Amino acid sequence: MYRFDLFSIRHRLTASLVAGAIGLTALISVSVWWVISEEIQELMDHGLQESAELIHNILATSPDPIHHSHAIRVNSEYAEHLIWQLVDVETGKVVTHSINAPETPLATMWRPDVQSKVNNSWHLVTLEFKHAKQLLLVVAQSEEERHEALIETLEYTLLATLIACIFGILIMNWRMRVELQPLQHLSDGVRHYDPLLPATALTSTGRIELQPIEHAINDLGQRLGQRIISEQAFTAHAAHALRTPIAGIDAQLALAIREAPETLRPRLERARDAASRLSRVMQALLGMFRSGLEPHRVEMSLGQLLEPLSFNDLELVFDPKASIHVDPDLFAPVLFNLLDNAQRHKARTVELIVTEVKNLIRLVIKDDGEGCPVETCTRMREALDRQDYGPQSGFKGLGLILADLVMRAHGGQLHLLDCTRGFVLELTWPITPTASSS
Amino acid sequence: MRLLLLEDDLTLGEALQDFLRLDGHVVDWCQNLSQASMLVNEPYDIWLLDWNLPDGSGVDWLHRQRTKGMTIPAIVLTARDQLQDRICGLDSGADDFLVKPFAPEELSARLRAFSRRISGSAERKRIGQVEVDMTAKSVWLDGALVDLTAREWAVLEALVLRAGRIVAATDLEALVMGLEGEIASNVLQVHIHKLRSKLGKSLIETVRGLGYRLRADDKK
Repeated sequence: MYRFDLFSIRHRLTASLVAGAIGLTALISVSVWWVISEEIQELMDHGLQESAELIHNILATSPDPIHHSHAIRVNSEYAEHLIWQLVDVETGKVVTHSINAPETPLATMWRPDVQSKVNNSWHLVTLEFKHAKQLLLVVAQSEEERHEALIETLEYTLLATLIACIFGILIMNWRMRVELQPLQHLSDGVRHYDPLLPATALTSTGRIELQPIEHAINDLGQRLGQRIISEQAFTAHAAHALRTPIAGIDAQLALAIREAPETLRPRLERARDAASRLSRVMQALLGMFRSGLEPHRVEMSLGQLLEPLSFNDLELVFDPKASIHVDPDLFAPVLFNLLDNAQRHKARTVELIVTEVKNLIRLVIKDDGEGCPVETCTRMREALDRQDYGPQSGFKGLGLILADLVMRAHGGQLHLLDCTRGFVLELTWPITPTASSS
Repeated sequence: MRLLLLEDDLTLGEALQDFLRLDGHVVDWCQNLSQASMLVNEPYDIWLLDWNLPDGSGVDWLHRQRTKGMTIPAIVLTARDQLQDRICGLDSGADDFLVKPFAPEELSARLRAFSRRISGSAERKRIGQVEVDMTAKSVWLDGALVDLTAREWAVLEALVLRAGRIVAATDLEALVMGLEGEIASNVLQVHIHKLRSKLGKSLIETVRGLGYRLRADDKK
């Protein structure tokens, strides 16, 4: 029977891959953003310094920097990314500035490096003039401008990484499917492999990792097939070797009953009954070996199954129209042996109750015989769970063992039920064969 | 009915032969195919064949006989119980299949069924004032039960099974007596005479130079 609550290798790999990709995307994005932001800060600082030097050099070459700076200012009507101020350090006032520069000085003394000023909202560079010591050039860039540049960089970085990851996931998923196909092929092959049909043997998946599995399964299947063929051959020989003498014994006894005087007939009839039981047991054993217990189910009534089984002094209570799906060749010996057990344990009445629930058939066989001790019943239950029919199992005859084997072959189970009187057992099996039973 | 039993197992063969004889059949028992081949042209009503025999397969032998045009009904008695075996046996020309071990009573019942089929399906046949029950092996004349010996019944049954047709005297002798030793040359005439005296002179007609024939005006 298939379980559908098991994990799928492909689904687990896909989930791992997606989770890994998301984690990797985040990590790469953070790393890249951190590296880029550092570089951009540095780049923008360099740009600020270079721009400041450029403006400084232009103004420094002029004999009148203040007048010259006004001329520069006239042309600055666009949205500035950099602003500049000429500050009189002696008065602490802005002499002139670019269009968007504030009226108040951003710095009043020279500093050699790029510095943040005014609530960290400006990055600025200051430069002095050699021939006009009272003037200080301040070139600045707003923090907002730098932040905007960084955010745009981050967005593009994230987008690029995301696209790369999605594409990567799709490629990896496709590769994963392709690489898992041999495993699926192997799984399908094993499911359809019938050791008795060499044409269904596993073909190579072309993967070195799966080769030992393929060889092992084929080898095991070949040995199993050989074993089944040997058993079938043995069964055919055994059938001929056993059936003919038993038929001879029965025919001789039937003849003797007809020819014998009245006083001898009961004795001969008992001998014939014993021979008949021997014949049934033999047929049950041959049936078990017949085809590796492969059931050939047919729908039939309980009456059809029980009709040929006649028991003296045993009353059978059942619904003759109750329908069951079984292999009659396997199930009839089971019923015969169970009823024979009941009779040998002094039962006078055996009740057979068939119920059908969903896909399950349940047959309860209840007798009024002497039953069996509780400890023995417990031991037999445990042995049935382990499928252990050894000397410690508590089984004394063939009936329960045969019933258990045939039930398992039908994908079902045998249970011994608690009872206060007699012996009750329950056979349950699916109406339609399950994967494990077929 | 006259039966050819082909069975190599001594215990089974002997018991079946005796059991079927008690049922009133004439049974010739062979233990191998070469013996059976010598009797293949004898006028048997049914062949009872084992599958596995010391000198070959009974089913293959049956198939060969069928290809030669032999139409005698055949029941295969075999230890093989698989579906493909039954199909193979029936395809080879067997009319019925009985898997060992079987109760001889079941074989008897099947032979009675064959007898009914051969004689035209009815268990009871009426020929003029005579009524014959093939299953109960009983005969009535004008409603009164007539007591027949086993041999007399065998002669009557053989004629009833071939009602309306001429049965050669030699075939009838072989049919009735089987292969059990030499018999007196007038035994058949004696049985015919007794049957006529018990069931009426007109029931069995003598066809000079050819044999005997049961009157064909039978009704169910």
